[in-house]
Amino acid sequence: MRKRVRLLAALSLAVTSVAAPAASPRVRYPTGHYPTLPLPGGRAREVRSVLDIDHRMKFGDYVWDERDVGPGATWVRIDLARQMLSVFRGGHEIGTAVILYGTDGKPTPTGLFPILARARSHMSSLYDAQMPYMLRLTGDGVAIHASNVRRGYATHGCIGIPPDFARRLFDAVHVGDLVAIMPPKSPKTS
Amino acid sequence: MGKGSRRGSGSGRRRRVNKGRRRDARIPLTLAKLRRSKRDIVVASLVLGGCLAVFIANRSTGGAVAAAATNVFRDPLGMLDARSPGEREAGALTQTKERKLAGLRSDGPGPHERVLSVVRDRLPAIGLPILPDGLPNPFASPLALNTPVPENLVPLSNLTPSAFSGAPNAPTAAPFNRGVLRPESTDSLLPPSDEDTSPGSIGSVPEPATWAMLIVGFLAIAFTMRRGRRAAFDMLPGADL
Repeated sequence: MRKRVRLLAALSLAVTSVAAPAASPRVRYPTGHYPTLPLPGGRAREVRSVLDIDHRMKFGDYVWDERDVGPGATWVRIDLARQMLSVFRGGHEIGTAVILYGTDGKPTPTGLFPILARARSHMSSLYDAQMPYMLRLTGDGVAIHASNVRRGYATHGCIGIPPDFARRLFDAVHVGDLVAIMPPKSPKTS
Repeated sequence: MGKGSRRGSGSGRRRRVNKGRRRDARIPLTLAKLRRSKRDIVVASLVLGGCLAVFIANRSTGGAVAAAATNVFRDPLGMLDARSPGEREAGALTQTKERKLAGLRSDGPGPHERVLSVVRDRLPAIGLPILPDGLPNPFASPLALNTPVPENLVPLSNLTPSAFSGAPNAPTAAPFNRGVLRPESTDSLLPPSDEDTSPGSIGSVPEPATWAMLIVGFLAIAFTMRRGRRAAFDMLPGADL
């Protein structure tokens, strides 16, 4: 009898786990209890759902999932301390990637930047280098662009993202959309 | 005997007691069984009911109910931490240029070359004759050097700077030890300086005079070293012995 009950319980659990949103790639927050993500200058933005990634991402990795996400205001949050970029649309995270950022000698500026210009294929006049899917953030040439994202690499102040992710991000954002760059953690005092 | 009778009476009592216990125990055992099975049924129905409720809730709301209950406690910053490859160390050595080999490998097999993006068209070098079509190339092979040069072509050996003197605005030849061609008009403005060098003034093989200077220098060094060593030997106490 006990065995039967256990079997029944296991079977029902299996059924519910198959039907339940185990394959759901995002963590949705209940209405009215939306958490916020900090932005530069002490500001914060509400988040309705976040992509559920249960593993540590490597350099060159990205996740893009905009299923079940309707239209809305798009904004980008770049976390230099975590070396991560997240794209939100209508409060829902639709993409995330590991990034490269500026060296200590040529640091990436932090703060809130609207996208000034977009260019699918851009040639850097400063460094004589290809910068595909360029999203310019500052007047002096700092931009988000496709690059070979590998451990141990850095940029001259730009944000480097994997090329496939850069293409998707380029198509998702418009000129004027907000990009928030969070500062890296303060260097350890020894 | 007394012991035996006691034993016998004692065992009989025990049997009776045991039988009684069995009789008494039968009822609670079945009761316990019944209770346990009831409890199992209740637990099973609860589990099934719970699963069904979750299933129905998930089906009707797209999984939001079950997810929301657990997601209240999941901090988005904590989730970012979990997926992040970590912080870059302050002062970490980083590479800002792409490795050429890695770039070539990604292009696939086959020969590759990387050239400058700006291509400049350059006129052919002065003095090299442009061969008309249909003529054998005298520079193609050493054997071809024996072939007679056509009359309309000027051999390289005959090309001296004086050959250009007839042309208008042609630069005049400077003395060969300088090897610099200077325009006539600016000759006075630009006096020849010793810093002027050109590939023509430096030979790839050292001259005999250079070899001689080198050998003399080494001999001088050897002589001074030998002299110094001898002097040091003479200074040693007991060197006269």
